[in-house]
Amino acid sequence: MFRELPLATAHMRMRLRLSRLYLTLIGHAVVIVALAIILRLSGEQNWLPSCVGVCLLVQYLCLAVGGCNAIGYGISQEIKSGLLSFHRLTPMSPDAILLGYIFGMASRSYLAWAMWAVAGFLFWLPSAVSPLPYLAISGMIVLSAFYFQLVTALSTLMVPARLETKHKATSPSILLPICFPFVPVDTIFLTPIPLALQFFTPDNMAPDLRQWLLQVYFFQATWPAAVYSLFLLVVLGTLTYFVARYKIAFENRPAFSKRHALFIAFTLFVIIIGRTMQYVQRPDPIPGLFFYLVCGFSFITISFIFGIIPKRLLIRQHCVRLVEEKCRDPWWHDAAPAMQATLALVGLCIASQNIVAGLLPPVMQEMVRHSLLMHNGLLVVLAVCLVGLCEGCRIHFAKDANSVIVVVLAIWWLFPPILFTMDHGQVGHCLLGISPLAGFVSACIPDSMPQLVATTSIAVTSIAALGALFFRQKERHSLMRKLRENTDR
Amino acid sequence: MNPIIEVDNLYVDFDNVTAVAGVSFSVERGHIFGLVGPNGAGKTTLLRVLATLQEPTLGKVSITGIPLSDHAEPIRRKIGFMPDFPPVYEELKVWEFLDLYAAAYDVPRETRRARCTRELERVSLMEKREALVGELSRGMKQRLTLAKTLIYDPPILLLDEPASGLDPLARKQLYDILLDLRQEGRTVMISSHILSEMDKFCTAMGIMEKGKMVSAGKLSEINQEQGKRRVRVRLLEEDGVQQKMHKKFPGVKSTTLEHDRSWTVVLSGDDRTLAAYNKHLVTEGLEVCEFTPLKVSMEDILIQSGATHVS
Ligand SMILES: Nc1ncnc2c1ncn2[C@@H]1O[C@H](COP(=O)(O)OP(=O)(O)OP(=O)(O)O)[C@@H](O)[C@H]1O
Ligand SMILES: [Mg+2]
Repeated sequence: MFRELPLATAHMRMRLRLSRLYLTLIGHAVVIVALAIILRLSGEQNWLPSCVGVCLLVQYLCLAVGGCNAIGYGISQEIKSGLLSFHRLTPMSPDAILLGYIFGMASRSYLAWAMWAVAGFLFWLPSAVSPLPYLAISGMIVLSAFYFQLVTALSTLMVPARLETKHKATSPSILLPICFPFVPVDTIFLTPIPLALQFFTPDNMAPDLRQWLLQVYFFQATWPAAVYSLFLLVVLGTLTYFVARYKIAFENRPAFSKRHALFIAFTLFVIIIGRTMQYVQRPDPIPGLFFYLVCGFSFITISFIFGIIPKRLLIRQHCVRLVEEKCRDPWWHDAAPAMQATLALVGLCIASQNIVAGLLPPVMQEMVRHSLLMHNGLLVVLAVCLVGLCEGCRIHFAKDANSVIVVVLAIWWLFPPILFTMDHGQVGHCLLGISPLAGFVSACIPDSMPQLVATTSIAVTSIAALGALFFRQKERHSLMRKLRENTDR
Repeated sequence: MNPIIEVDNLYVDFDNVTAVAGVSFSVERGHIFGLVGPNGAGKTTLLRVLATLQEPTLGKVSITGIPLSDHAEPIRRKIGFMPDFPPVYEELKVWEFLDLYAAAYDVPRETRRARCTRELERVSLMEKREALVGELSRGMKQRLTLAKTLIYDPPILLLDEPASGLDPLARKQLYDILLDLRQEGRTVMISSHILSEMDKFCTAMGIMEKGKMVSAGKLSEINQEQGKRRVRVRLLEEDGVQQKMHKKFPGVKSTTLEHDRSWTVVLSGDDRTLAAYNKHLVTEGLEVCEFTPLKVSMEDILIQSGATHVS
């Protein structure tokens, strides 16, 4: 794919100059030796495993926290100085730029990681256990750190640079790798992080190093969970990679391309199904799940919302074109697959909801009748809002035809609460969890009010869509008036 | 000749200002196009649009016949853009900085070193090869960015105030480089404030004012379009001559007495008018000891067109 990564070379040349590096190298070496000596002298029986544990922890810190910081700060600097625009002009592919940044900017972290990885390996060797688990965990740490680095790169590309560079040396993005290890233990298998961090006490390591690590890392060695964890890491990582790559390629494009949107839709589907399966197998609902849901998916929600709201420039282009070419603003907009898709989807929602309700036993029907009516009403309002939003930003949707995004958004936000009203049992509960909004609200509201939760979810979505629509339309009308006045004069 | 850059009814808007409002012009292959105008006229914005860094609100731009909106990729390879405040990597060495862009533009590994040397020699930075970019002076950084812009041999160069921060010698050198590039058949678009030096090498010019292109075209055409000629006239006597110089010849726009006791006469018309005016002075009985048509400088054009625009 790449013959070379010029940016990685350049950043490595800057960061790995020997004259500056030797302090880092010596520093890490001294800390490693000191660690071994202290643990040895402390009379700890299993001092070698403890050393391995600390080495693994520091590996994570170096790569995920240090690396993310370097990348977040570095990219925001490049955006601010205009170097990124410069690179966009070159024939370098977006992949080459993104990977160049990640490998180049975090090169010092990778070097430190390598030192600790080797040290950990040396501490491992005397235990006479196969080094395979150690290598597997180190690999997992690299993988998860790489994932966090991608997320950092993406969030830095999306958040305006001025927010990032207020605090000179750190990037807020490092909060993510720091926070994730604190996800509740029960749900940790759902997150793409090195679980070992939860258990870093030397006591744990004493009985049998290998068994312990397997247990902790791969969720009591139940392989489906471990595989799912890995799968999640790879899929979410790929997803993030594609979106970040897209942001580098098209600075001004607000939404993802159709291809990427399809990819996202597919990914979400797989994740949702997989997670639901995992969750259903467990005996009781876990509140911590909602924390994860809100954290992980709100990130994607935000990209979606940014995606469907048209940029000011696009509205302006549209208005200026209308005024310059003396066209009338068309009262209806003929090329909007997104709008058609939305209408079809909401129609489908209403129909399926009513059909399913009709199949229920009469007693149940009586129970859901009230909320069903309310939902139908709200869905109609929502349909009107979404169509209005599509109309308001016709220029955008007509160009990129991001219907898929709207579809994904609607499925993701609306279906679960709807299904939840059908089924109050466990399946319904975890479906509810899929909808970030409902998940968030239900985490705050007692379990006895699921209906309210689902209704709130739809209502809030409607209000948000209505708000976005209102502000964009207002802006558009005032701009149109100003432009018309200017040309009349 | 077919134009290499064509701009038609271009608009660029920012939140509260329209930086470029309905600009149309074209640049032909092998020309050096000077873009002049007061601060905030929209020169930088226009160049950024041509460099595909700024999305226009409206209008058509095509470069080498390819519309900009459709195919940015092939156009980007043909353009060398140098912004007014070029960003650099302070912590790279000079040759490393050039090497980065040579690699980014797919210059083969084997020829990169030779290219770097060639460009560094062109901008006279050879002795700073191993220095860190951050240690260079402002003018040197400017020259380094020029070298970076030239390293992949783009046929079109967009230079935004490349002469700012350069000493007179370096400016002269820059202009020589530009003339060399023209010899090589490249097209250059350059914005600058140092007008008096620009007309030494520009072959075409565009004057911008408040987002509009007041006039654009080849230098000779603009001169004619403006239709103003200036003559330096020195007479033996000084008293009471203004009446004779000014009043009785219809083409005279103004006469001014300069510090060296010579007159600067502004005429509207062509060479024939000049000859007629010369004759007119003689027939009026004035003793002319100097009659020198002055070359119309860019500065005059700018000031004049600015004045016409304002009025
Ligand atoms: N990023 C921006 N955001 C908002 N307004 C901008 C931006 N860039 C330029 N402008 C505005 O656009 C107008 C034209 O600016 P531009 O930089 O193109 O002028 P210029 O001719 O290059 O001036 P100078 O000779 O000072 O370099 C100015 O009114 C400026 O305020
Ligand atoms: Mg400028």
